[in-house]
Amino acid sequence: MGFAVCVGNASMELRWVRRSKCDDAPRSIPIFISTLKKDINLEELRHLYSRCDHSCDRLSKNGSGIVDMKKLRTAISRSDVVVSVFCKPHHAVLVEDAEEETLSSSLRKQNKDESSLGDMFQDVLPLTPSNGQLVGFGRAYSDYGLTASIHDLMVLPSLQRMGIGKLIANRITRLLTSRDIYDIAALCFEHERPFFKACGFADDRMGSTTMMFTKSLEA
Amino acid sequence: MILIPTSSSSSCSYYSCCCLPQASFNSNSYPSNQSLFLSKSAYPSHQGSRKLKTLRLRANFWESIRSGFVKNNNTTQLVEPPSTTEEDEDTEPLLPVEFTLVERTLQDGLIEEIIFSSGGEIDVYDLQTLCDKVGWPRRPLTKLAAALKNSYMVATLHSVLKPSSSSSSSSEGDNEQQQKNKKLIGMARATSDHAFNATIWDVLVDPEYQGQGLGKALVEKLVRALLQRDIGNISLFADSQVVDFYQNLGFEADPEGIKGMFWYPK
Repeated sequence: MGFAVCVGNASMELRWVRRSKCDDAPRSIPIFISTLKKDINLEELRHLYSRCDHSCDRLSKNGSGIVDMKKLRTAISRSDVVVSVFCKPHHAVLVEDAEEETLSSSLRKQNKDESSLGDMFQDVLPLTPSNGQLVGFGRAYSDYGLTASIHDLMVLPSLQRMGIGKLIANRITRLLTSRDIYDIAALCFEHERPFFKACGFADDRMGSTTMMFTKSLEA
Repeated sequence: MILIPTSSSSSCSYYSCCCLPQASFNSNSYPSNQSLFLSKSAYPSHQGSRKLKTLRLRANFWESIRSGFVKNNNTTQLVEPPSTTEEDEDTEPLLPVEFTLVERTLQDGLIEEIIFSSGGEIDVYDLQTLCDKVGWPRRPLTKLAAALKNSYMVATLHSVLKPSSSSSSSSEGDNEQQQKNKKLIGMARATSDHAFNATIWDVLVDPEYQGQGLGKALVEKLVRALLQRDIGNISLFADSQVVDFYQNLGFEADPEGIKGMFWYPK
């Protein structure tokens, strides 16, 4: 059907990612990558921030809790590159920790019997941002000339280690380098460094030190 | 398949063909044998404009079916186009537009004014000369110009030399003279997403003017303006010799283990 998903469009793309271990869950699932801002539902995005335990204020003393909606809207509208990844809702609900495994797998089996028709229909319908669930995100702002900064790159914990994060990072860098911006920086915590390293990032070759403003506003 | 009842009146008769679950709509042939709902009555001669209307209607029709079937699509507020937010933000200037930082009398009787300004025009050639003076590698001028234009904040320092005996009222001759004696001696800029994060790049001061607190003033003003806008994450990447300079301004190296990584093509 030609009208559903523009597969050839530069800003939207349908892909498959596969997971290394598979118990009951399907081995590979379709995901939809979009670089359009209009595909972002802010409520869903805010939900993703909390699901991924990701705060917009990097330093813990700056802020806490739920992301401010107005600021999020501004941040997205002022980001030069946004990448969102969607998948079908029933793929996103997966086993999260071992304790719930037996319960949820039995639930899944139950649901399978009862709503198999619904699932089948879901599987057949093409995946689009409006019927998919936001599971991955990343954004960057730049000066359109020399530099860019990547922020808030996150993937739902239950869908990590499937290559989605790497897809997002590669898409962002590809969009930036296509605009001739090669000085691309990403701030990351210690535990995120192996991920960024695998995506082609490294410590600054010029040996610069990352510094952040930590003093509170003087009266 | 859902059927849309077709009205019998001739005015809406052409809407009936949009009920068809066809992907492609060929305007050249209206094959009545393929369609279930086409009324065989009037097909007006102007088929071109009608095709546009029916296509648009059909798209909406499918959208409503899809959203109805799949999930309760509560379309909450999507991202507003930047044009509306721009009006809100740019009404008040972020940095002071222009003011004199320092004024002093030089040995030969001239008065030198150091003027801080933001939002002004920067000559990229002047900037490149300044970058050469501090020993930075050359960067393409078009990229420099674009970077300046699209930075969230750009602050500059100019030095203006005036003869001490100049009259207070500015005649045209004096202004021209001032333009000639206006020299770019410092700059700092910041990029941002206008809400959470900002990065300060390219802080530089002419070596002849260093050590006087000018760089400190530049960065302080930038940081203060950013904090006033509630932008909490201000970061920068400092060369080893200026780490202490920024530490004195309230910056911390690798806070909470946060480091910056850069992309290098393989």
